[in-house]
Amino acid sequence: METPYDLNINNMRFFRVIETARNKDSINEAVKNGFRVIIKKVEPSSQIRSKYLVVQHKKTGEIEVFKTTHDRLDFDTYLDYKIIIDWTFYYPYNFESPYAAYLIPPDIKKGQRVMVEDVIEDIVEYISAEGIGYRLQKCEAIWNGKDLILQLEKDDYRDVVIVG
Amino acid sequence: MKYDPINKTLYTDKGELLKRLFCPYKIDWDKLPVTSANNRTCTTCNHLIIDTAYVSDDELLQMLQQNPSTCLKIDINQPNVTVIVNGKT
Repeated sequence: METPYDLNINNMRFFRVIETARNKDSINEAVKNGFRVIIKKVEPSSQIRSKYLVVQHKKTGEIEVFKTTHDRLDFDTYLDYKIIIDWTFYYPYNFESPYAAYLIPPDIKKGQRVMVEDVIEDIVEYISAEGIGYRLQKCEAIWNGKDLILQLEKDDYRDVVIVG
Repeated sequence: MKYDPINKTLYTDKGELLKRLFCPYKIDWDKLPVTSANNRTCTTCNHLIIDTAYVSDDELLQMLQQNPSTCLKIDINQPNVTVIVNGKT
């Protein structure tokens, strides 16, 4: 298994990428290839949540699904719909296994800064004004010899092109 | 307009808050399909993303007042953006 480097000059990072394995076979394959695996539970956080609203057209029966309160029906068609499911929060992820593992390359050095592309821990990155909790998906981390220490105060200020 | 990369917040040149930029999907602008000359559409959530290099502060302010969830793209090297930290250039 290769250990690619993050060559995205756009965000001025040049960190080694740590991959995550999310099932038994891929974890075992990594072990056979010399990786050290740091296995963790996949535990949903109640703070990470999306929401939705389902409305149905009174005549056609077709439904519309909204995911933020900024999604709205046109004013002139609003009365043609009825609410079937009012705003409801839900956990938006469905991970493959209740466990996962960070794959640590054998030549990684203690104190080395890396990029974790698929964070196992359910960490809230941002909660919107309407209560949607977004999950931290990737994060810089430091290998301390035993575990990856996620660097939650990320250096995103180094980004040159920003979308949001 | 002014951009504070520490707080990821965009302001008008007069200091009015435009938006705190945040994308949970960490979208790569260069990989998005071009919608029109200056805008692109997010392939993950279908939001239109406005390239702020081609709009004025007043236009942006109006857009965001009408739809606060409008997504924006800025490049800190674009001519109409000044980078600030804690309100200072």
